[in-house]
Amino acid sequence: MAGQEKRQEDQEKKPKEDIVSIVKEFISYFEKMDRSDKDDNSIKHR
Amino acid sequence: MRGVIQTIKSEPYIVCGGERQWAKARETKEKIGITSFDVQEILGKAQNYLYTEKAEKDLAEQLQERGQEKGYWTEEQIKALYQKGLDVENMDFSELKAYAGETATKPKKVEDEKLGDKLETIQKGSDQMYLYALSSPKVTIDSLYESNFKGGFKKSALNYSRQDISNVLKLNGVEENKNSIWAADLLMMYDMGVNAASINKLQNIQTAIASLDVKQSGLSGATTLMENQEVKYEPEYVDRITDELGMVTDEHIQKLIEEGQEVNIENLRESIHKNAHEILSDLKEDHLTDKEIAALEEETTAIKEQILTVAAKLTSEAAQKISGQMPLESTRLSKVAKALLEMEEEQMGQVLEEVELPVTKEHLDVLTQTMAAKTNIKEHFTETATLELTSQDEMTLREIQSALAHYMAHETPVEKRFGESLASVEGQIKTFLENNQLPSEEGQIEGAKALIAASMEVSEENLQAIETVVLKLNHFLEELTPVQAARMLKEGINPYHATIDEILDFTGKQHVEGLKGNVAEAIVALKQQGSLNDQQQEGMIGLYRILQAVTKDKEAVMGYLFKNQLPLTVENLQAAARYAGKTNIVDAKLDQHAGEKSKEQLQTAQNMLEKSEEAADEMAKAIKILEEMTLPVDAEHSGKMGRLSAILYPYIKEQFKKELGKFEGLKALPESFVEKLEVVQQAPASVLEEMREHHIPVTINNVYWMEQMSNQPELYEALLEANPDFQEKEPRNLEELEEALSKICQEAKEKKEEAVVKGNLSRYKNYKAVEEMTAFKQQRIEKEGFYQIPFIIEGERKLVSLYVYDQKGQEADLNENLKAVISYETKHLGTIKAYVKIEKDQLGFEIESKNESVKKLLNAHQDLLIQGLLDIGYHTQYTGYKESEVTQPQVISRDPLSRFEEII
Repeated sequence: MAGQEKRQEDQEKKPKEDIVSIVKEFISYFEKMDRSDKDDNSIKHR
Repeated sequence: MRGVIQTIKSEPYIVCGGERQWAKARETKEKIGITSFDVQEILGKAQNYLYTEKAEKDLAEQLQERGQEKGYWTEEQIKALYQKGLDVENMDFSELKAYAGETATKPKKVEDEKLGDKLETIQKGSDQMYLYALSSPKVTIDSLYESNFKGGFKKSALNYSRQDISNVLKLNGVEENKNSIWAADLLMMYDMGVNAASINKLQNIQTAIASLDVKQSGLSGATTLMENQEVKYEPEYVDRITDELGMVTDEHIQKLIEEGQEVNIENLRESIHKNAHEILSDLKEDHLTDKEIAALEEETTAIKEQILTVAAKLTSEAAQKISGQMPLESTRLSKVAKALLEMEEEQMGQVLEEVELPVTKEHLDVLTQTMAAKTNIKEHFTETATLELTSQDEMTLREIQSALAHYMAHETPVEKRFGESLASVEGQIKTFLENNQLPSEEGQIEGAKALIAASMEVSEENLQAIETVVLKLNHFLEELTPVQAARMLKEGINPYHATIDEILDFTGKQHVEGLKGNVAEAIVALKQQGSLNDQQQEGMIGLYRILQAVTKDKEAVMGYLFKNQLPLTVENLQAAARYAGKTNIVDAKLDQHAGEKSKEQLQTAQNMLEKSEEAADEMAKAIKILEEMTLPVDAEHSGKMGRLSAILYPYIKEQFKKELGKFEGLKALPESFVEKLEVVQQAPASVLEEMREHHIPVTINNVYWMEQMSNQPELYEALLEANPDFQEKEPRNLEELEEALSKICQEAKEKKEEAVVKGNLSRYKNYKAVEEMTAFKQQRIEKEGFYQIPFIIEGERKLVSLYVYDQKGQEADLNENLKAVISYETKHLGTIKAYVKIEKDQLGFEIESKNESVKKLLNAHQDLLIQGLLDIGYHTQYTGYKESEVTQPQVISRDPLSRFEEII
């Protein structure tokens, strides 16, 4: 039952509506990496 | 012919900026040795030695590239357009060009007393002068004058014959006539390379010089005669050409053919000065066979066609362009006519593309017919005014054309001369009007001419009736540019089958917004310059309020005027704006009031002025005249409401022009405007290209904001922050973002207008900037799919750039497939780009960075990203990490989508 529902949900995916959320995922990821790089660098400098 | 180049190769020498230095340089060289080369100088000379067409083209292209997209116009021209009440900031460049083309150059004082001497010298012209001019990108009167006294070009030792000249011309594909022979001869005489471009330029210089007349208005030493390859034909001169061409008869043509002379503009113009009688008696038609006569008639008809084409289509802009390809006046007429037709088609094609209409034969025909009608009306202003006045029903452009054609076909040379004598009577018209206590402004004189031509009495009543017509026609000629015609076509209206009223109605709508803007800017500028006191500011704001009211509800305003049979004055407009649409006002009361008012309004402006002696202030007087002046458009003469509608905007524009014209204080354009112009002039050609590619209208505002936003991306943020009313939240989807933008734009506009009315000028500027930026962003979304999304990351506001690739033809709902490019600035990792492709719930991405280590880092932890995407329902099919391909030839366009197909 759950599987069927999930498949329906998948088929209804509309990328254009979700693009902002998708972009946010990318940006969050970039920011995480950006911060970790900063941390790494600061560790190196010690 | 190898002179200079051989010298350069064999022994280096010092070139110190001028030929006179050569001798000295040689001397010095002996002492100092080799020092420096002046590359520019050499290149300039090298131009004369370019044999291959390709080399020539390359050089020409390079020269043109610089001039191409920049400086379409001078600040003077822009100011003239601005004061006409046009919305210069939001008009497409091609529109600006079209309107500017109609602006006649204002005569400046001829300060240079020695000008006459200079011209004399130039017109005698030494060989040196011509050869110098040949290698100068810009040829002015001064440069020609000075170069007469320079030496440097040495005659060739070689001998050559007349036949040699012919051969050289043939080799270069140049038409052989007395001018091209002179040019080729000159070049060969001085060992210079002979090519089509040089011959063309020499001929052009010759023509430009020959047409100089010390009595011409606006001439000075600095007057530019030629720039690059083009002759700077002035509208005055071109008008003279077309007028004279219009006087050519069959006999003139036949005489030329008989004498074996070239049928070109120069010869045709000369021929009309010959006595017509002489020509008739000279023609040897009796000695020709029937066959020969028929052939001659055929040729004559063809040439007449060409003359009509040239006379109709030759504008100063077209003349300038053609001169770059061939010498306008000495080239065979058929070639010139053909070039004009091709140019027109190209121009119309461009205009259609700009309004995003398909370039079909049908569309092209409509545009060319419409423009031809306009030119014809311009040439036959008086006749058209008469037609408009005397016709009961509205006439379409097509109908006007056929009426005019009929008139022209039956026009005898005698009548043509009658037209001339009407001009000589013009001075008397003014006196006549003054003597009869009739107003005698330019508009009234035009009107009187039309009445005379129609054999109507020049009475006060008739004058008033025709004044409306004249105003309408003048505005029609101003307003109907190719772009406007194309816009009408896009709305489904065929301008050729429209009446002048309909056309004015259409174009008027677009301009009032611009007028409002201009009034607002004028208030700001004048206030800044200190030319506006509080009372005057009130007056200007009053004008602004009227414009606002009229824009908001034009139909109601007109309905009110029409129903109450009120003359069209500014005061009544104000009243109409106030009361229109409000049904609780008692009509009877108003009619009574209106009756009284109209009696008052019959007084002339002069009387009004005398009455209000208390108003010492100039501005106050002007406002008073403005408010009490009458344009009699009452029920009888106007007939239908439609006519009122057509006259409304032209009338307002006219008042506005008069108003601004009274301000000597408005010496310069508003500061903000000048700043925009400067930015726009510096904008690289690639920006304009990109805008054109995406069909973003190339207007001053758009180019300005495009540049500002890319050079100062934080500007938008700063502007919003300054206005706490504009909250931009993180949007949940693109639709929300678009709605927010639209809302901000609308609010900013309203607040801007409020600020004007309240006289708060700094707030006005602020809100205007916000309005323009958001409007621009909206355009980029619509045309390019370019979004800037605000995100709050860790309490900080950041903007992300997103290009969304929407496939054309796909239904809006069908968005299962999507391509996008994300661009993001990080603090430490630099700019990161992500190319994303989505199909239903399947996603693929490729990340790009300039840096190897960044790439590695992003690659190493990509599972985090993939999981995050999965959490919102998207399965990542493939990923990739790419270093930025800096070594490859960079695409000039900033549009990352153009690389999309390569990457994914």
